[in-house]
Amino acid sequence: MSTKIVDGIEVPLSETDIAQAAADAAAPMPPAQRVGAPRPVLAVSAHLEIDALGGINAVATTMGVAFVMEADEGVYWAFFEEEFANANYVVMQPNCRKAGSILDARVTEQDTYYFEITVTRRDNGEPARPDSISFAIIA
Amino acid sequence: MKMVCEVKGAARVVTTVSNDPAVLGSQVRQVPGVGQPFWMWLTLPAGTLMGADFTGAPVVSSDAAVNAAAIQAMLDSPPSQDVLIWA
Repeated sequence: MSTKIVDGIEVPLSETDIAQAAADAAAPMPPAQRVGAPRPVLAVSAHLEIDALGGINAVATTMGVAFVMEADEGVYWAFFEEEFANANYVVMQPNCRKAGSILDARVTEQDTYYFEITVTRRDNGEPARPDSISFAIIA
Repeated sequence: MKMVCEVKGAARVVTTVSNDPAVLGSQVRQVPGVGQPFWMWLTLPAGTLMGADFTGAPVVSSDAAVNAAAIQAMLDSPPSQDVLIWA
């Protein structure tokens, strides 16, 4: 008969103990972790503030970006400090804000050394210059 | 810092996020690109840039160290901003 120790005394297992042990044995194993597999990391993050004339200023927490520019109204290019090995990195949904407007931002091009964000007004789809843009890249 | 160079045939102000000449010296090979002139300053006034005179400006080399040295030289001895034409 199986037993367990309770307060220093050996006692037989109850039906509940036996059922719990059976359930634990039947539980799925945690997923095996691949040894040596690359783990995604936050490679680039940026918060950019844009003035009314289109001047761009990067907030200090920005990392991994060498330079940024407004290629056209509502079109921004961000050049990385270091090239990626390939263009398969993941750009998290960029966040754009402008007082009094609802904007949509989407990644319209990405390459190993830069990527492009296009910002439009949600109400008419026209290009828009936001007050700020934030983005993050996982690679 | 601010870089002025030609992109798509027009003079543009490019905001440099990194202030490390070594990083910038490597990446200016992408923008404005090897063989293209550029200016760089710590700051520029707000405004809409209409054009720039690149006479005497350093030209981007394929060697990042050469570019970094050119950038450092502009930071140590900033060129006159009279070469910039504002709206």
